[in-house]
Amino acid sequence: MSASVETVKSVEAATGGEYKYGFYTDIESELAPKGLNKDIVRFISAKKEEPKWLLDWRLKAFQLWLNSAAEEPGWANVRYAPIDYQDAYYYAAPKKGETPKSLDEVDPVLLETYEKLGIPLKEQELLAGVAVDAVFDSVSVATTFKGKLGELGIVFCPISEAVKTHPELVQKYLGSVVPAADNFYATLNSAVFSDGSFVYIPKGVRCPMELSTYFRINAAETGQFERTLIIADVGAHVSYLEGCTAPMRSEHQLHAAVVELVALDDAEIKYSTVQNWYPGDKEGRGGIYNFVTKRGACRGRNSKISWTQVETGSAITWKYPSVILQGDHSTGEFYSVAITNNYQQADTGTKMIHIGRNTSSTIISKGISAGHGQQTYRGLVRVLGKADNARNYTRCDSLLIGEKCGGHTVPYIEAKNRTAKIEHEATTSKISDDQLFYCRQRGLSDEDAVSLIVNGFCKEVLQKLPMEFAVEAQKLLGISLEGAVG
Amino acid sequence: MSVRKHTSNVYVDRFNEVRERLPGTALPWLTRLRSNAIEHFADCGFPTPRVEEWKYTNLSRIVDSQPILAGPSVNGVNRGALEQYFLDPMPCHRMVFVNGYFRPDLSEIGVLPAGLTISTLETTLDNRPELLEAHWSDLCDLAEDRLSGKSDPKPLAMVALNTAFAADGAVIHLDRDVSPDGPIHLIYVAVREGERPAMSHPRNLVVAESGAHATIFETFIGDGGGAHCSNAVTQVSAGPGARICHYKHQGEAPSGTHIGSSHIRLARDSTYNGFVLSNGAHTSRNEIRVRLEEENVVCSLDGIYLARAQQRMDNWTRIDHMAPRGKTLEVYKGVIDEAAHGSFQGKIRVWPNAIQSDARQLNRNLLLSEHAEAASKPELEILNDEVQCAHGSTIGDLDEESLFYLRARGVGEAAARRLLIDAFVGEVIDKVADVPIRKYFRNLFNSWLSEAV
Repeated sequence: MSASVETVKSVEAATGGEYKYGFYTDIESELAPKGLNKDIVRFISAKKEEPKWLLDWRLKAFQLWLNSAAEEPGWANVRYAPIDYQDAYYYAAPKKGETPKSLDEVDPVLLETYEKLGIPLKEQELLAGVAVDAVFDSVSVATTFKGKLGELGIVFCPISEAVKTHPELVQKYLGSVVPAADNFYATLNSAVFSDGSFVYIPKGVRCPMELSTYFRINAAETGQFERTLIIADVGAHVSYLEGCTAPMRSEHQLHAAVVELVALDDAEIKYSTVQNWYPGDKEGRGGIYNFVTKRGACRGRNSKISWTQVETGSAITWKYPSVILQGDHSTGEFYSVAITNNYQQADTGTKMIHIGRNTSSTIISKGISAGHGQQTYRGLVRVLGKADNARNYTRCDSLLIGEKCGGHTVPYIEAKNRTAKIEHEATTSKISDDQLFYCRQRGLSDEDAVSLIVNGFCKEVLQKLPMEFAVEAQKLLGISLEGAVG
Repeated sequence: MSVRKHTSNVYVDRFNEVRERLPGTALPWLTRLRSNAIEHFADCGFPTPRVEEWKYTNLSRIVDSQPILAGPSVNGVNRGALEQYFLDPMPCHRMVFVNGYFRPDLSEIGVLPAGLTISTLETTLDNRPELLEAHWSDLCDLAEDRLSGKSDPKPLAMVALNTAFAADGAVIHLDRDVSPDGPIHLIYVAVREGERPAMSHPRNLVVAESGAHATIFETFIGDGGGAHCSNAVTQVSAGPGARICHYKHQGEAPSGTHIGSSHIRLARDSTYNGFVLSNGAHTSRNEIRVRLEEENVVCSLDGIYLARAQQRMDNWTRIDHMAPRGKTLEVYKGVIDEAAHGSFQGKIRVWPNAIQSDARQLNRNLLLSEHAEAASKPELEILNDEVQCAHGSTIGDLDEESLFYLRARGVGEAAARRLLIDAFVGEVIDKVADVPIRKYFRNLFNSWLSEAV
């Protein structure tokens, strides 16, 4: 663990403990006119050369959004000034000629940006064995390892490309887990989504490497609306990673993504996120509004979907990765570490809907709140009448650092089947003085002691992350809590 | 929406009919409070499950049946029928209310020690209105959340309806250091009044000055005929160092509706022990709001809900730790059988300055049949870091291993199940400190259990 303390230190030294990814890449970009109307939706669709069914789908969603415009959700425990949806760009793309065929053709400025972000695309292709899809503002700029994955029949490409190459899959599954009318932000996303990743793992294939998407908001006053769709066919297995950053800006930017996962019989999807959007400065100015709908459907028998998230960024997070356990014997998991420091607010949690027989779900949520941070765990566990022998275990712990922060727990537990076994436990406390004393007595400074204790507090979740991310996540924990102690 | 609006208009009209006949019309503050309350209700209408606080309570039955306003009733109840609910053998001050109105012929106030006043709302409005003024106005402020500054009147619509119509109830006042020997037993009987169901609005107030001790026991029962609706509000205020035990049995008639709302304010060093057992009514809701307003308050809040047939039982609690070093322990357990539905929604909120608060909350539900349903929403809202808070919640059938253990020792299945349910509930009943009242709840539970499979 001392190693992690060192990493935190070295990263801090290099960055002054500030947000490390706050730089802006000066690259010419193509923007759609500001505002949101039917023509913008048509414009985005035309830019992507989409078939008519998709345009119709978008327009229908847009209409729904207009109808529901009054129903912007207000129930979450977050506060912000109203968003002017007309005062933003809904499409921003780095200007370029032809779509790059390989990394060599990708604009070197972009590659450099990803290098700075710690994702050297080229290097990764050669060494790391992680296939990366990089999404810059609204479009996917590069996808690595395509060839190797193609040999196994795995499709890993921008969703805009999948619409052209695998229309039958996209049409079948798009909106099947998160329907266009699902909620305010998902509806907005359905109308204006720009790009995102598409993954299809064919029957019986175990994806040999981690698939990863890196999201970057670069242009000013733009919203990012990506859409990810992952399908694991019968017996397939995939582990998917997602990372995000944005430049430091004093105004807020909206990020409203939708992620849909579909697991068929015996399939397994593991989805990990390290969310590090710009959180705003120490006074709470700027930062990303992260309003995301993520949902997985365990459609088949013995299927499994697992969400792991480390949420350190964003001014406001509103996110509930959920699993619908339709198939008998299916499993849903949710592991989360969320940190709110300074004026960050997070309302996050999960939903586990038990429909099939013998389904089980596990929820482990660790929230850390510091400074003026406000954090809410909001979760739903629902067992329907037919879901015999459903099993759920939930544990959510909150750690509070500082007297101005808040930690809240709002679980909803509903059972309509007597064979259900549901357990929920939650605690809220500060770092105990005894623990701190113990560490300090052994020569650790206050900050190192807190870092050590926090890492221990989150260990259960961090262990679920793939190696590469676990290291990054640990560093992030340290940086996010910078200045919270003392 | 318009239908609901229309429904609440019926109550506005009814209010205009009776407003001159309500007690205390000579008091300007009360007249103002009542008109505000009825306006408030007219704006909000009956709470629907769309109001978060009422998510698990569905009042459509009483909304549709449009109950009439219950009036003073003299028939249908005799002492003999009530005796089974009396506490004995204990000196006790008993007040009986029929359809919300005090019935001296059934009551037995007994000899009161110096410093203890037991009277009715009507009398108090005549001779000590200032006592009511302070506490009634205070309740109307609740719609505004002092911490967030937000005002949400909807959850308190039924309290507003009570404020508008309340005509009778118990008013109990304990002077400094007064400590009566026996409990104060308040019995509310609902009886049929004509063809239409009636709705009563009893309004009670208990004020214990510093160092006083009191045991208050509220019993709500019905005579079985007609779908009566009780919309009761009880306010309790404990002064510095006071100690109040507050028990409640909700045993309304099977077709009845019970909406009970208790508002507890606790001053420095006071202790409050609350306990509610529900086994009656078709639709019921027990709402308890506790405010630990000053330092060093100890609060325990327990509940048992025994639901069967088509019963819908909702328990809603909200505990505010507003000052340092408060301590709360909350345990709610439900046993849900047949096609019944039981729920618990409890929120503990620790204010920014309430350092060294210790709050624990536990909700456990037993589902005994295929169609039984349970919902649980234990909620913690913590706004400072020097606290220790925890909550737990479970839903499930009896533990199979425990059953097996008993069966392996020759206990039949039905008996083994009964034994385990007994242990599950008994643990909470055993916390009731007053022996006669504990016995009362014990007997009640035993007879409930003997009817279970």
